[in-house]
Amino acid sequence: MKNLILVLILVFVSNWAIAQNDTIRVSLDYTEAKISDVLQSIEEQSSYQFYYVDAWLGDQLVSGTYQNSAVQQVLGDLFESTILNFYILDNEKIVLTQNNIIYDELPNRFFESSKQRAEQITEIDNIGKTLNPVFFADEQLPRQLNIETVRIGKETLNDQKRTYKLSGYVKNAKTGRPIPDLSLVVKNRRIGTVTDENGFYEIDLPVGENLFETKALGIESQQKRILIYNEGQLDFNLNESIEQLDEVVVEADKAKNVEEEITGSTTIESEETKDIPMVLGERNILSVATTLPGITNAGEGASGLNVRGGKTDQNLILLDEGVVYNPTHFFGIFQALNPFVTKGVDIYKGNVPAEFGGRLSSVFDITTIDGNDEKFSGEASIGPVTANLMLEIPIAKEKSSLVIGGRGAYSDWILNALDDDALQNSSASFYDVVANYKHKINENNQLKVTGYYSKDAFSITSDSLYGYSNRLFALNYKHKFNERNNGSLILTNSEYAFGIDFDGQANNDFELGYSVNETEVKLKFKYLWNDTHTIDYGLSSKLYSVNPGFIKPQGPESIISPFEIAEDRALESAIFLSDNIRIGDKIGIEAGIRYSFYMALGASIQGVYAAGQPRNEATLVENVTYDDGETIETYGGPEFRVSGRYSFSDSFSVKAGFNSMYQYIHTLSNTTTVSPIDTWKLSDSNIKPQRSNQVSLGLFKNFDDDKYEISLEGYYKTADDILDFKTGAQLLLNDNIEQEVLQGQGQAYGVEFLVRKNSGKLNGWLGYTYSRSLIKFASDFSEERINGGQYFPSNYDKPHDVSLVANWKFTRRYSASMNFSYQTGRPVTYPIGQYNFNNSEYVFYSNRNEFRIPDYYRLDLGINIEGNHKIKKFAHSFWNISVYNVLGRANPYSVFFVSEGGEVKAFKSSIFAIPIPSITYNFKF
Amino acid sequence: MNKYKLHIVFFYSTLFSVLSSCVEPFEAETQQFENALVIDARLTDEEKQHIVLLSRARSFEKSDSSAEQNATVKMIDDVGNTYAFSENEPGKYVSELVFSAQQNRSYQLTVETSDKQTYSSESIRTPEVAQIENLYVEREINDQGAEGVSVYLDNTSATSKYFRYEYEETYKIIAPNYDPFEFDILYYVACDPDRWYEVGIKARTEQKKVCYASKKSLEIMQASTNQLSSNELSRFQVRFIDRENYIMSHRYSILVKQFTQNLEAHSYFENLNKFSSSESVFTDIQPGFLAGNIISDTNNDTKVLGYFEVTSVDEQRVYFNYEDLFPGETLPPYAIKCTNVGNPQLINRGYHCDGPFVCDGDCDSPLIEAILAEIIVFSAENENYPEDFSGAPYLTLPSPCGDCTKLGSNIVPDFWEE
Repeated sequence: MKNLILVLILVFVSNWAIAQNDTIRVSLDYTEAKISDVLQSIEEQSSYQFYYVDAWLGDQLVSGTYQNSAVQQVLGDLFESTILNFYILDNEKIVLTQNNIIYDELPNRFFESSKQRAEQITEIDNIGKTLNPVFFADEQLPRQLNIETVRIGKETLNDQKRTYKLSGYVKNAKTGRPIPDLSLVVKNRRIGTVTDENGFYEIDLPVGENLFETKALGIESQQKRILIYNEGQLDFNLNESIEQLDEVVVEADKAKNVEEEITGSTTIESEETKDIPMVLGERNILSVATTLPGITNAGEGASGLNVRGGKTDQNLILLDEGVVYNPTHFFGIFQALNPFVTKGVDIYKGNVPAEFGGRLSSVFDITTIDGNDEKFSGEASIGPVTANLMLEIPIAKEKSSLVIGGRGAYSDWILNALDDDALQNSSASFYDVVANYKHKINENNQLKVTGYYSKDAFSITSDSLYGYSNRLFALNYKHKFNERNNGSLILTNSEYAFGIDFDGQANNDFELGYSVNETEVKLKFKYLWNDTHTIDYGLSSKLYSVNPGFIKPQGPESIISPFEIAEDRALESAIFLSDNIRIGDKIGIEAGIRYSFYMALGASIQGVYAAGQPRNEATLVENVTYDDGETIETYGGPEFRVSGRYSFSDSFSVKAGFNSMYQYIHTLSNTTTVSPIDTWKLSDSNIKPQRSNQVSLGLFKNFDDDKYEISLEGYYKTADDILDFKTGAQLLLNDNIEQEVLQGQGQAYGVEFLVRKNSGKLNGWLGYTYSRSLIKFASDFSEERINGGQYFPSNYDKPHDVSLVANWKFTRRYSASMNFSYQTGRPVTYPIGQYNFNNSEYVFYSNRNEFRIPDYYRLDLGINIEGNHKIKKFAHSFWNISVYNVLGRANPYSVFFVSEGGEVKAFKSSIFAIPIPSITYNFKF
Repeated sequence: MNKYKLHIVFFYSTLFSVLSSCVEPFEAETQQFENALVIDARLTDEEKQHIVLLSRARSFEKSDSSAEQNATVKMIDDVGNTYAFSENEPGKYVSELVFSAQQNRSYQLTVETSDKQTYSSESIRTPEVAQIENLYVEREINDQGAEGVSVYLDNTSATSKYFRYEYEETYKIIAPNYDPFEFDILYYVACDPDRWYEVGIKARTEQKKVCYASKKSLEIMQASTNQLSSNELSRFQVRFIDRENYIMSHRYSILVKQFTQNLEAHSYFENLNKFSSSESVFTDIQPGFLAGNIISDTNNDTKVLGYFEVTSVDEQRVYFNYEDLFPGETLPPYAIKCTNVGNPQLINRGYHCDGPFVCDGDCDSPLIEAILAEIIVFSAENENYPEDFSGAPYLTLPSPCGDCTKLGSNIVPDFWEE
């Protein structure tokens, strides 16, 4: 309007009286005039009044000369190049409409249901003269607030076709370059097209409303409601996309490794692990995790994982957000998770999302499957150790479903079948059950409830029974406030407990027990602010209650005196906020902060020790008593979770991150590996929380349409106040445990290299890690020092680690798989000599972990046979035949020295010294 | 309380044997060696000359420790009395005076080695005396399902909570195939071509039917009343003798010594035991340097091995006869199998002499060599012995079957009561 060009409008008016009721004629002559001005001239010449929206007319300039022409003709020409239609009402009013036509008669069958009409419309022959009006007000599409509606073309009465051609160019908003291979999908019509190398597309759209969506990897997906009235053009300018983390996880986007902002994360799908040969044919997602760089364990038969040089207690293992304290059976050899019910695990070993906290090294976020809500189905397996059954039961169609999984070991008979008297009284068994219920209340509300219980029991002799168990309950209520805001309320409770029942000949029968229980409430929200920012925020609070141990006499004869260490309680709370920022298509930042706050709560008795003295019985100054609920000590601080990505191209990015963590609960263990009777201890006035900082840097490159992934990641991590113990510390049933605890520093660094092939006949991965894990316990007092206060390698410091997992599909039914791993032998404390004392020989040790056991390597092979794919078959079967440790290498697990009969004898042990074959049968129904 | 740990060991060994694990012995090699001083010192409340043993640690390749000679060893009590020790054997230092650890007194050990390094212990208070109340045996089936005899102990203690036990068991051995006759080598000059070897029998001159053998406990055995409702132990199992063990075939005696310990000594011995028993097989307890109560005054970082134990001692002995607990039942099998009757050749088959100095073959007599090596005893004359000296003149048995001195001593111990 500002650049108004003055135009002379010559208006010749002649008031022709026309007999016919609808022919009012006007004479006009205009050049380069605005449509509004033309309309005004017509109004001045006639009795017509125009009704329209100014914005529709735009800045288009028109020219024309009319002598006594019918208004219809003038307007027809005038609007020809626009998308406007007009309708003359009662010879007085002219109503302009955008795109559509005002009909003065209803089409046939108008009053039938809109659904039928929709069908009818598509049936209409496009050559026919039948009216084919476009209605959209009652179309069955969800009204989404943030979807722009675009109207294309002008509806004409004469050329009514069933479809119109829409074409246009798709360009990168930032660079202006065309985006090829972008798919454009019409969601409600099930049609689509793909852009060519120039970003050009062409598609025939059915008249009416089309919900148009653009889709391409790395490109923001855009939706538009397109109301098409005629042929037209629509160009798109698209930004590079931000894949929200949770979406990425669920969809397992193939370019995730390159595009995600956070470093050091991996996803393992349980189903994918079924081909990998494992001990005794038991699928084990946690063992598979150890084939990935940065995740190891101390050896076969050692439960617990060491992630990037961290201790085994530094992993937060979550099952549907509830903590599982010991996710293994049989001392780490089998996983305590039902493989059929487990959907997969997201492992964060570098940058951890701000919503998680409380453990230094990693988060294993394990989720259970969502049950099939349409039909009853299930899966079962029979292997040499366990039998497993999982059922998916629809409760309300497309609304709610129940999943139940049960798995049990029948290894007892193996023990008994062995012709060995010493084993006759032994038994070892385990089971786990898991169930979840998912209910989709409506579009915006969803509920998932998970329950889990695992139990191991074993007895060696007739007089003792050992057991440990995990119990978990999790409730997750998701609510979508609107298109941009959603949130979850999570309530979890979990308990880990172990116990020993001893019932022998002597009068010292007892029952011993330990348990840790935690209840957490967590509220988290996601706000999709705009294309640049996605914000996650929330808060959580967790109440711990630990029963550090009790011993009770069993039976009236027993002379054991009951003893119990008072319950420890603590509250761990946190608020967190993180923003996923995408600046253009090149830069992405995940900036998170978590503030965790810990309160050790009474009732409790805490020892106070003389300052500047080693902590022991002699330096105990006093015992301070705290009342129930009284705060003993508080700890807390900010935890930064920042990482960023810079993309050189769609398939090549560099990422860097900084991650800091606090840990308030620690395991007490003085074994070099993990044992099920290790206890967990809460921080208190004498035991400080552990802290860590990690910086990481990684290069990520995908090749050949994401078929190959290559990554190279480096990290450097420091930890403070990690726990260790004085030589020979007694940890169980010790109520002055702080006298045995040492707190020191850790340092870990490494480079992780991974090549992965995700599809094709041959798939799998090759990982190599060079890493070091060092710890240091320095003190002014020799009794609180280890190795003279110098850094020394931790028990799980294995500098070189190579893993190769490969699967070769011969045909659809047959595949072979292999798993090879090589690791530097772990450090051991080796004696530096022997001596005579008290009529016997003994060895003595000096510095910890100065020597290493020989290197570890192992090859496993497996063959997988899928049952035939007959459609009518009741069940789909799957056979897995595998041999663990094909080479039969007796990998040393430990070296130890025994004084027997007054003499020192040296032994080395290995766990799986011979090839172990197994066969497992699985079927799905 | 230690019991549960023990069972874990059992569990692990069970589990891992099932899972085809293997534990194999290997010849340890010294990777790095430290020539630490070993002090094995004990002061008890017994009136006697006490002994302190000094030696040096050794590498795995060496079989004997070298004695630490020419050191100055002293014990000093908290009222200033000094008890000097003198070396009467290399590395064995004996107190010059007879004395004993007194109640409510503390003692410190000092050692000055010949290279002028000085070592001293903490000052250790004599633990309170506790008595063995009762030492008794019971026939039973133990927790592992084996039948046998358990030796139990009850004690009385006012305040002491920690005890260490040692025992010495002595048992009567009766040679099952004792014969009043023994071999008599009449002529044996190996390879003499002129005269055949000759073996006869003669009446035994020395009693070798009934003997007594003693064995000391070698493992560290401890008990504490820490988890118990009183400071008194009851039914503490000192020893379990499997019913298949020949040592209790006739009469068995066990002397149990109770050493009352303080907490530090108890923990030291407990850890020493932990680090050196098969408990660490699979639970894999983190070992480390086990500091005792003696440090080097000269250099704080010098490692000193061993311990200075100040302790109150009580002992008790119990006897039992097999017949008392297993009346009329078959005896446990003897230490060795005595059913394999041998018949060694007097002259090796193939040994022949065609004349003086023209002998061929192995001229050693299998029979006589075995007699000289004391591995066989006379059992009977061979009735099928041919006249030509080519066969075996006697039937024989492994020597312990007829000679108990192979397993013990035929001298009745001083304390022995029938």
